Amino acid sequence: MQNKMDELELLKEDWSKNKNEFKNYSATEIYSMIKEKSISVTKNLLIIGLIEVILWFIIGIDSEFPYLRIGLFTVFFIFIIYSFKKIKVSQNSISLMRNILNLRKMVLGYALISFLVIVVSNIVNFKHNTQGFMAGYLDGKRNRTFNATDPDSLSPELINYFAFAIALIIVVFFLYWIYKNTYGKILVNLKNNYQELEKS
Amino acid sequence: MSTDLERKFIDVFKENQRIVHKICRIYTNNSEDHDDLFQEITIQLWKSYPGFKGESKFSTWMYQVSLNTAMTLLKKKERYQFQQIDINMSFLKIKEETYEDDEYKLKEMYRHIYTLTDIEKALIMMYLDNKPYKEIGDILGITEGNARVKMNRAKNNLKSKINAK
Repeated sequence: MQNKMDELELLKEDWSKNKNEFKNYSATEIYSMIKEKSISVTKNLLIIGLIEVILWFIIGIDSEFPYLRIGLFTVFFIFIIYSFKKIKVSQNSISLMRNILNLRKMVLGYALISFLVIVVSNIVNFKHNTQGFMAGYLDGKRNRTFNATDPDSLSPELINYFAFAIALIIVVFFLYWIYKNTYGKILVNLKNNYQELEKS
Repeated sequence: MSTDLERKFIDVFKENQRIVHKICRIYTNNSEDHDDLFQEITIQLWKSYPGFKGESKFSTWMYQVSLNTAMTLLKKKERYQFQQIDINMSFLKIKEETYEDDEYKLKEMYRHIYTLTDIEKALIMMYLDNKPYKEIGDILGITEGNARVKMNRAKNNLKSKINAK
């Protein structure tokens, strides 16, 4: 064991030696470096987050509660920009990691609420939507002209509600898969580091 | 054509660039990744520079920003795996030729450090730089006591990796 400690001391000695093992960058080289684009996690998160927020807004544009949706979009958009501004690489490590994770939580929160609003809107309009779908299907099957069947004359049954629930589960799994492969991949390392710092 | 602020930053960065190199040495295992990380840290330092008020020493501030950048950067998995095989091969060659050599021992130590977690790497690095626990706690955002506990764990983990060879 003593021998192993000596190795740590040996390393410490090597570490503090001012050897010329590293490239010494000139002022010109440093200048060209600071003109390059950054590839940081935060920037990636912000870009994906903003695209996502806009996509969720567009996807739900036809659904119920338009004012609620516009309000939510505005509030979350402001909060996401605010969260991004709070991320400073010069703060202590745990705060930096917490702030980055908060930015992602904010986007996730908006996605979740948007999704719920779409689901609720679908349930509210369920009878109408299903009737429309059934009427279209029947017209196609009987080779009749478009809109020949009056949707209001049809009534959805339990099986239709069941089909809706199955479709919902498939969509949730699909979304989960997308999230796992975007945020999951970007944040796995950061999350591990944050948890390691947090535990006492 | 550079501005005053750019010139000021470049001057002080040039003087202290060894700190960034040392962090890249700990967090990467090949020269390409070293250069990429160096570049990213330089950009982050430059971006944060207007917020540097001189409350702490420039070198301390630089240490903080560099360490945070290294710990929050996107990992490039493929290159790491490929290089890992290369390094192991050259490592075996060295083992045959100069077994008791200090140079070999050091190479081996760095190889073990590279397998630690990001946080442990940061801790070992601050140990090597003789940073006091108070400063380690401030940099990571944890208490002094917690820094001490984590440092002991990191050192023990590194030791057990060396013993397991």
